[in-house]
Amino acid sequence: MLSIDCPWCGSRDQSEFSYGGEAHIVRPKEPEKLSDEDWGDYLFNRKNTKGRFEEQWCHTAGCRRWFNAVRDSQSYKIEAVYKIGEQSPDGIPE
Amino acid sequence: MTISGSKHSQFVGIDLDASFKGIAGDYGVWFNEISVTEFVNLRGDSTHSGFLTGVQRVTGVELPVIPNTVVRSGGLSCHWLGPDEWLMTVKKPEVSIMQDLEDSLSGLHIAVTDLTGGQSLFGVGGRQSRDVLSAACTLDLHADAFAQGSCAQTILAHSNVLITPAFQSSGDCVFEVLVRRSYADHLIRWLMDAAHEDGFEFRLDDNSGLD
Ligand SMILES: [Zn+2]
Repeated sequence: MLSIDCPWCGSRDQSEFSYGGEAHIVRPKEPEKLSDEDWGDYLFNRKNTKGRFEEQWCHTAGCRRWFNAVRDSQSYKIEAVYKIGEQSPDGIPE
Repeated sequence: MTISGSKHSQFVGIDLDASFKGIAGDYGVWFNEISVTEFVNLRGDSTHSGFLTGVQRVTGVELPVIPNTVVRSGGLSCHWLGPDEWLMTVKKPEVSIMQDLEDSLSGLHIAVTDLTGGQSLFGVGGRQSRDVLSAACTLDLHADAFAQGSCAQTILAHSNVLITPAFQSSGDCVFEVLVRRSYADHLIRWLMDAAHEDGFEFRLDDNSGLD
């Protein structure tokens, strides 16, 4: 079981959180101009990173806020958490 | 046994005479019902001074902006739930803040939601109250970590709860547990079961803390 730092509430047990997958996926501004392939890519395709991975978590049973975390997908170590709208410690995501 | 002053007890169906002495030969834990006349959920922008003063005009308290803290004054408690969300509980039957909040904050980008009837609040006190709650909760309930003035939303026996420690003048702590009404029966039965080793009783006095 992980202890996860909520940016608002501090360290809480993993059972209070839910996972939201890859972070920083931006909805295309003009979806109607996208090819089917690009739209499908936006909707369904996600990275499967081995190592540092920026991902979303929600403190479901606490303050109910979404936030981002940098987690190492090999060691499970959560290296940073940051609020929605804040920049990733790894810099501006591509 | 009936609980006076409460039309619809959250302990309905529970045998309140079912006290049970623990291995130490006494009651290590007690439960009581806390009557709340109004539960109000408030959302708004805490960086907007008009919002803060509008709330203060009605409630007389400053909204807590530090996460997981509560401000109490004269029967009114204001709990931080999120950076833009608070829960107010009113324990005085003659006071109602619902309409006053709406009037005082009209025109602002806010939401005031009446949750009365959907929530219930009970107290867990006694020597072993921390141990019993800890059996069902991952939160650190020690007074050093969970001091007077704090509150926390967490999971207690699979139920979403808001726990607020209320320290008495004696130094004892009563944990006020707020839970959705439909979970109250499950939760109190779970806690009764968890308290068998320490012993438990129901108390009728509404000595629910400092406010
Ligand atoms: Zn949180």
